[in-house]
Amino acid sequence: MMVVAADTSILRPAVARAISMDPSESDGSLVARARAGDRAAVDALFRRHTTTVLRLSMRLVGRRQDAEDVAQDALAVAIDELHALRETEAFGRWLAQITVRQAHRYFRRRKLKRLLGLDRGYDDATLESLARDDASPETRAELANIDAVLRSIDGADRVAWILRVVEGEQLEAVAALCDCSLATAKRRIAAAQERIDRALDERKRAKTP
Amino acid sequence: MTDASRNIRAAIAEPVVDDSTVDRVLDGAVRRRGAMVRRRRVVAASSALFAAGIAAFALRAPQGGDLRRVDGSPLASLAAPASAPSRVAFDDGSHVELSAASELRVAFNDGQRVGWTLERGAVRFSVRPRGPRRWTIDAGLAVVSVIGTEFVVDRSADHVRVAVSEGVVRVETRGIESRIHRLTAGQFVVIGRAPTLSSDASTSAEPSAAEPLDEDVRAATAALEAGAMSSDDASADPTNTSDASRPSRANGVAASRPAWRSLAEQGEYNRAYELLGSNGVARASEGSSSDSLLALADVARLSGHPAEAVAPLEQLLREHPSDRAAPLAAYTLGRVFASLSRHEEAARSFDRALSLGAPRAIEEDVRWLLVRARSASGDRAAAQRAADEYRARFSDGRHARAIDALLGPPR
Repeated sequence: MMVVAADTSILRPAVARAISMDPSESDGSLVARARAGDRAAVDALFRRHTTTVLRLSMRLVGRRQDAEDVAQDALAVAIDELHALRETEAFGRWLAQITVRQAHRYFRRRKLKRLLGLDRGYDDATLESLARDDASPETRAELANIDAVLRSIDGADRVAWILRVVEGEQLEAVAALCDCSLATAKRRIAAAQERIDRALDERKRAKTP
Repeated sequence: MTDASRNIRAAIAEPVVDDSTVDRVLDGAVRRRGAMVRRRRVVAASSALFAAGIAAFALRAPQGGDLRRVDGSPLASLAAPASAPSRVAFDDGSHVELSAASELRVAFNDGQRVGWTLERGAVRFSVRPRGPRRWTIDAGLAVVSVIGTEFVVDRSADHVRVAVSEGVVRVETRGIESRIHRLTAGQFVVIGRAPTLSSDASTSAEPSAAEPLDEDVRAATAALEAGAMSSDDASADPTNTSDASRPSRANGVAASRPAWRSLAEQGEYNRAYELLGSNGVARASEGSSSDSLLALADVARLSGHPAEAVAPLEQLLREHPSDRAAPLAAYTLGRVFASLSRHEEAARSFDRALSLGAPRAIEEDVRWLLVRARSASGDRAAAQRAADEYRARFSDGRHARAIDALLGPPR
């Protein structure tokens, strides 16, 4: 069976899965093999990271179906641009960066759809829906409140805030992932946090007799 | 900042992502990447066409009209006498040499294209490089397309042979197993009616010149090629058509694939499926290699016809049980059955994949899917046994939690 072909760029799922792949093989090594034309390495590399990309997309976008679209776009771009990756060991980081870029693109499209009244999606991957089983009702309620605020926040601010607060990224990493300056990243996070804090305070005050 | 927003990471869990979602996303990514490549090609082709149009307009090429003979007379069908070859020159600098008793008919002729039908015999085409027209030669079993090059096409009752001495030629064979050959200088291809010549040549680096040609055509072709290939060889014995004796001139076609296969390898599974046509996957499976059978199954699965992937995969397991691809075929077959909610057959296929020696990279997945298929088929005891085997082999496995959720914690 021919599993290694000259064309590195095409994933053929069935054939690629045939190869015995060492789970401990580094991303850098897989990237090198993928570039050399080993389709199984391409498959193993992307299969290894697909779940991470999907989860990140879900948290950034808040909708499962749309997150799958974002993830597919990100993976397609990554397959296409694999030859251009310089730091091969940083494949995961690079893929996350592409995912964030696709999420930004998604929010721009969604904004346009909203303006045209065509955005009929349903947020089914909210923070509340992801709450741990043992989360208290108060925590769930608070997460629901944050979800409500996030829905009204500008996409770029939302992405930066989620990367910082939900994903736990360092500020420098948020800037790198968003492909913006550190100052811009800080400004976006602060803008989103301010909106969230204000909204939550207002709700709290409204509940206080 | 409130409690939850301070510690959101601790308050939420990872979204659940199952295997089928991963497969779906990866398959979708491959398709989208294919679409990206196609879009890029269209843009590049459009740009090139636009640039070519501008250039043609700027240069106001004189050969804008129909192709004519060098004396200015209109093009007509050409026929060489039975006893002598014939040479015809054209106004764009191209010419053709017909071997004795050959006949070449004009199919169409305008500023951009000139089309010939080779009714019989052998003809050497010398098409002016960078000329204004695309030349097409229909030889029955195959259609040859060129812009500027030298090559010979000969047509007999059972074969068409195309040999290139300069430039690049595109040869498209006709029939269900339509293929596109790209020949460069020194290469040739023989297309026959015999099914062996339309089998998958791509997995073999053997030259395609496997079948004998009619003696008359051989002699005529040899004479034409002797003239065309090299002036140094002009004195060569024209009856010597043994390709093995002229390896430097006729190295054969290294790798040309069925058109559906080329499309599949570009991620264009829908188009590959369309090209194969109704019942095409089953038809193309006949006599195919294990690699082709897997590719056919991919085409069926990824074009949205999973039920049609069953036949090539079962054929592979039946005809090539000791092939390296067999465990993979069984695994893929199991997934196809699972996607069709044929859970008992899925379980049997996953069992088979394990008995055939599933590679380590997929063994964990196979065992997990076996648990799931047995559970879905209602055989809880068998699912439990499969789960125990999974836990014994992969104590910290990726699917351990999913198995616990499905069947409960370990006994």
